[in-house]
Amino acid sequence: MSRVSATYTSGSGQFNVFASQSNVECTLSPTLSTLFSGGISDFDNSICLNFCTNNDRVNTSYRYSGYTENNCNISWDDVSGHDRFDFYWADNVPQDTVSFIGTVLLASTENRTTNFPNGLFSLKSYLNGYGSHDAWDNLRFVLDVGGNGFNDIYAVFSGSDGGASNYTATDHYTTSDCAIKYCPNLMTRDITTIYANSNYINIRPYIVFMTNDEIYLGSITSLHPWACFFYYNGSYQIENFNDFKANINKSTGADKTFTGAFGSDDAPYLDFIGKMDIPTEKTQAPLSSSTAYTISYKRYSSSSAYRDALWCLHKSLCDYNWNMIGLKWVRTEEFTSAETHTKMKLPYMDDFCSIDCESWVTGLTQIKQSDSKNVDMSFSHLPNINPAGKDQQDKYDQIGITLNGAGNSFCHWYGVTSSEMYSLLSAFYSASVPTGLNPLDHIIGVIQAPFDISAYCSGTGGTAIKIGTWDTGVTGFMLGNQGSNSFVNMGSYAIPRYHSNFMDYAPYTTISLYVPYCGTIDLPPSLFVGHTVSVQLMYDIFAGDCTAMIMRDGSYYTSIAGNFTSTVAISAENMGAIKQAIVNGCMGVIGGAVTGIGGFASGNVAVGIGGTAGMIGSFAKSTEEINGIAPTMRGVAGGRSMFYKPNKPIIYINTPVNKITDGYINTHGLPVMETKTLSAGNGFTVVDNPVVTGNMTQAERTAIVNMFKTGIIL
Amino acid sequence: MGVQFGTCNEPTNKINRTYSLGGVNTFAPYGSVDVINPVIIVSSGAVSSTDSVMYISDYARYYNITGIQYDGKRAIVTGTVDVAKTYADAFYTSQFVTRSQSGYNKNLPDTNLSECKPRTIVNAISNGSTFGNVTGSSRCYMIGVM
Repeated sequence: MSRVSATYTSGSGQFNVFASQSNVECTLSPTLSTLFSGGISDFDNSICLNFCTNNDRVNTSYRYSGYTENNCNISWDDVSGHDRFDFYWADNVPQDTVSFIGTVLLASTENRTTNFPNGLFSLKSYLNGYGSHDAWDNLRFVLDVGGNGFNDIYAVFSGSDGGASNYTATDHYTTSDCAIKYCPNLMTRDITTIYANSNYINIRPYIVFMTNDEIYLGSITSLHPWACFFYYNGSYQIENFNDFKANINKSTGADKTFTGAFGSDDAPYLDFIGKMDIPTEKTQAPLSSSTAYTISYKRYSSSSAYRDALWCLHKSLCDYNWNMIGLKWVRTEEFTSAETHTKMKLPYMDDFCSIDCESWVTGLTQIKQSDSKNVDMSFSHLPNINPAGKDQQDKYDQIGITLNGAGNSFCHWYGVTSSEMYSLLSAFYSASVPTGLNPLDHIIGVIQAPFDISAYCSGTGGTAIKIGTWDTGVTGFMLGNQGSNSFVNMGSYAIPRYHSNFMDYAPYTTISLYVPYCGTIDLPPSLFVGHTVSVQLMYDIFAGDCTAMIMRDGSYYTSIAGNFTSTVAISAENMGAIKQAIVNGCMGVIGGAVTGIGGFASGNVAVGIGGTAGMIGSFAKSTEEINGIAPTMRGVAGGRSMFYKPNKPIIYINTPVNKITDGYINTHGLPVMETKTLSAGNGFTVVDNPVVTGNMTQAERTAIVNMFKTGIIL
Repeated sequence: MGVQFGTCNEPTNKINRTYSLGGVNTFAPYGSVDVINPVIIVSSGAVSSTDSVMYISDYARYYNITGIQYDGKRAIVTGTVDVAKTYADAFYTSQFVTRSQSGYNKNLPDTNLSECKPRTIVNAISNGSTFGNVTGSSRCYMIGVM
């Protein structure tokens, strides 16, 4: 794997940039001491490493920058006629809040041909194994995550792959500029320290590079990097907002600070909020949408071109389980007259989903529905994102799932259309059947899938279906083994906090999730409210078995097993069995075909080849389930009836409509359940078992006790 | 012995209410002395029918007036001690607070709001991939042949 890595040795002052290939230029990288004009021990500021290609066929290799605004682009302007990239980490960002752990880089080069000068492969080539890469023609976003080593960066870029990997310093292939910049992790502290301290505003920069077509800020010829962030689902509570605000407002001169918002598909146009004008009492995203973020960014106007550093506030940014769903910039305002458009565009990452991003994290080939073949599902190359001992839920790669389906049966499986199937049936009863041969005796099964299985068939011209040596004269497409163990990301849903109080949880709120072909599962609100549930469906095309992985913020929660195929009757006896299965299903005899990977629940699975509409199942209650956090599953999967049910996951959320009004709080208060020192101004207060001392009569003491119990106004 | 009559518009369960008191009037106990629920006799002009509170310095207590009876030139006033005013400091202490208008925890269940009107939100998750639809020409059958 080709990649550029940046390492930092704590205390040594050495910052080395190198590449894994021996002939790349980055081995000539300077040390950190040359990046910084002064001492580096404090890491008061970030560093930016610029890697650039351009079309001048001159060895521009990388450009590096120091920590100040002036020298961050130290020699970039010298590259005549070419755009530049730069990014600064704001000086006033509190040092102890900076963590680049899990830094994500995005680069957008649209379809421009570009290459990395140090001879690294293009992402397109990499992902496609140097084969056909039509599917990636429209790839506009390149992602890199330093999520494992935190100091790594994959040298990724999109566009033409160039075909070779041994570029020399002067052998530039590109026709346009592209750069990847990386802000490495500068923090050596334990991530849990950062995470556990709610006083931190954890700020993570993500950098997006855009081509001219995508940036409408300042000079149209300038390429502006934007530190931005993925759309995070989950809690949007902002900690210590005032502190952050105070730091932002330390900026001087003509620099401006802004606050904006990100939205998701269901709230795509959340307006700019105003210059740091969010009401201080807002402890949540100030927009009604549950999928909104507030962000702040700073515009630096002290140089020739505007540069905007943008960062976000998010409580859980240092969570290992970051779940990238999508990114959409909503709106900016107060740009100067130099702008040519009033609306800035950031890449709309429709293609992004949690699994895709995760696969990119580790270099795993992106999995799409159309590209679901030949996917390495061993997960052996996934990083140990959750080190041992961390109080984090495992991701599904860490729970020991064995992905080895039942694709290899001791027979031939053909994919046919309905007309081909009926042709085959006609052939079975034709005069061409050899004497003594009952073709039906050789039919292992006939299974109907709810989708076209052509993608899982091998060859293009079809194969004659033979019974023994008898050629039926019907052509089918033989299913290849690659059809086994396929994977589809069925999407995700951010479950909002509708009330931001106890009514978001059981028993006031209940959540259930229907998964196509697998049934319905209850999700405990205590785990999922304010978090994102996602569904990843693994399936075996031969057997029709599927297992839906239910994920919480990208971490494994539980799974539901099902079957999406339906057996087609091939004899009267067989039809009778199918009917009986249907009757059983209608009578509610069938339990759930349930599997619990990871120990949450136990049960049976087993809907095998030619499986009928479910199996009688039962599952014991585990301790987790008794405590209300284990999955409760119901429903059953499999059978043709599933064909008529929605093919998308559906989430059902039952939650009250009640709202707590201010008047209610003034006259009734809300639960506190803490020992507190009462003082004037606290308002209506109720005390349990009050302790009343002082010189007074017993009657007066009793009166005071009663007042405490019935409520006083302080 | 002196008593001051006055008014107070604040709720009786408010601690250390603000009294608007008039001048000192002499009074005599009506019957035996009761400092908790006193009954006193004053001249009828000393107390107004709109007075709601009084302060008796000799008893060192504030009272809520519970009744005024006019009897010719005298008035009989009954009251009960206002512990929230007299012993205000006793309330500004450390206590186990079950409910409050401030410093509450919204995530704690509120039994007073037990009657919740449910609603159901149904959303299809559409940002993922699905298996495609089947048409008449789809190759959707698998035949296993031995």
